Amino acid sequence: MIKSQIPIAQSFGEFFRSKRISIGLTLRSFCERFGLDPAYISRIERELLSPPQDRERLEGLAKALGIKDGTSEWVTFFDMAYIAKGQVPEDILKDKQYTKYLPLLFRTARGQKLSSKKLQDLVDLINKK
Amino acid sequence: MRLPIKRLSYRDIGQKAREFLQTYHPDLSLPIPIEEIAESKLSLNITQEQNLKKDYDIDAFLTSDLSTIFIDFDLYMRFEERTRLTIAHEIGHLVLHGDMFKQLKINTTKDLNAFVSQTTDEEYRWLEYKAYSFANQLLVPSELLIQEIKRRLGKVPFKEVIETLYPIAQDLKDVFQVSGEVLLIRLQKEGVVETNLNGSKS
Repeated sequence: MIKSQIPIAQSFGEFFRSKRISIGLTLRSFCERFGLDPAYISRIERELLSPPQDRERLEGLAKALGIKDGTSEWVTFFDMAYIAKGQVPEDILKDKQYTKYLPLLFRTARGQKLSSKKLQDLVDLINKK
Repeated sequence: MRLPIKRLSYRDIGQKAREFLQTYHPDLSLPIPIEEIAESKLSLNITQEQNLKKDYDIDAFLTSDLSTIFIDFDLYMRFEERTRLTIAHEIGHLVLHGDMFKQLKINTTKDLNAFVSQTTDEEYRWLEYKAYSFANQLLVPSELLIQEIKRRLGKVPFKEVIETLYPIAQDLKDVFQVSGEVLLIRLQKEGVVETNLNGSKS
């Protein structure tokens, strides 16, 4: 049931998320502390948005994550941001036929079962199809 | 579909919550940092999704691969206590029903439709009751609740009148970071208040 270690990040979004968790901040508390938009950061972590292209903004994010200038993590952060530049939408398009997530849910808040169509819509939503 | 649901008493579920805390938050500091436990100890992804509530009447759900909790974005941003309870609830499903879900092998939308349509009302109620009871006891552990009240009342609380507890209720809500409703249920379940005000199961 339990996964004991955070996997090594393979992408900018994963790297960002694992760094945020490693400094002990939830998405909410991270954004509150550094005056960031949670919707924006959530999308970066989920790789629905590319990282910012502006060097200054990227540096601000790196510093917020506690990454020190000149360290190997700093280099990794900028390398991954560079690699991710403009690639995210393509990756999502490639995955159009792939259903990664299925909702393990039972009913709505009012106790209603979702219709097959509504359930399919929800599956599409969370898989960004 | 007959789901192999193990029926547990409220106390038994509390024991599962206690074991969980011993493993993942042994120092028992309050409030229980449930979101941090989910992300850093269980490696769960917590993903905020727009309009889950508005379009689907859903607060949150665990995915069938047990990797991710999707949660309504507005709920996450605006209602911290409810978010905490919701995450604890989904962790309850993971802890109490994770093995069963794995055995069900829900890998396609067809599997999912079959699961949803064949789950009976009784099965559904049991699954939810267990996850909800787990969440409440995870966020408000029995021993810590009694300890916090004892510190404020100067005695071990037992069937107190609600007026006695009212002045410290707000304080306790803040300490445990839960809603008044969750706190009241926990006080009733632990026999701290005199009457069962909302007729919940014991």
